[in-house]
Amino acid sequence: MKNILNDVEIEKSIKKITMYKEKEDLILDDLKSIFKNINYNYNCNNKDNLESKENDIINKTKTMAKNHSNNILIFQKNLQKYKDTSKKVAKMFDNI
Amino acid sequence: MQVNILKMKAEINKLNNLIENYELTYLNLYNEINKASSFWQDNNARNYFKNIEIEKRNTKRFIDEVNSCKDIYKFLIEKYEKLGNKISVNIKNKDDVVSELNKYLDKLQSIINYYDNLDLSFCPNERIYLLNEKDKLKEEKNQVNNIKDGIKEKFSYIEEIEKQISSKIAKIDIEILKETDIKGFI
Repeated sequence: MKNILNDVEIEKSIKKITMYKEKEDLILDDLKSIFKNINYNYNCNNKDNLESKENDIINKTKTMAKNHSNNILIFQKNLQKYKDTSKKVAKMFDNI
Repeated sequence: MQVNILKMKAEINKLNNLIENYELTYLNLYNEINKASSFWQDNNARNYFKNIEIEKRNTKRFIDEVNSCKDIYKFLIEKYEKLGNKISVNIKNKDDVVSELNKYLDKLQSIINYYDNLDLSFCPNERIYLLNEKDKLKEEKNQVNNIKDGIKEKFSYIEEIEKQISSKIAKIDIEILKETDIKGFI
């Protein structure tokens, strides 16, 4: 497949994706605090079981956050690779 | 056990807003990522955007899992608010409370028995007074019995709610996510 990357548009996308990712981080932080408050106000036989499920969800948010950060990293790395290749090609033409 | 219904309701409202907000944010996030597919097209991109579809489904599933927890909170609020806005009771004391009330009822019954065994034939005036007192004790005994039944009923109600919550929790299956290996996309 031909190598095509529009660096200007990808840079814009990275900015927007980063913005949504930051918003997501704030939301997931709030989720932790809501779970904590719910557990403070519900202390019954099933408290531990419920808390264990909530902890699984919290742990999942960490992996999700990491994966979503990786999306940004993948775009950045590919963009960098594209820029490096462009420079190399430009230099080759200069040398010719 | 302790349940504060009003505070839990406030947290559920926050959770509703949070889920709504998150649904919008994750859709925007993936729309933006998918838009980028028009500006990056090579083998890495092909693999990456295929993986994004899986990641998006996982995020949707995550929201469903949070909603399952929310449904349990809503269920327990709906059930416990029938008992009051703030419930605080030691469930382990159920047998002790019932046993103390039974002891009290036994005492009342033994006093009533004393009254029954009194020979009041020789004192007609006092007889009326004493029979009134005995009726008052019988009434007191009935009231304590009703209180005991009410307490037992409430304990059973709480135990039943907790049993139902336990079975609802057991049905929640939180899928474990793997971290994306980015090597194939760079």
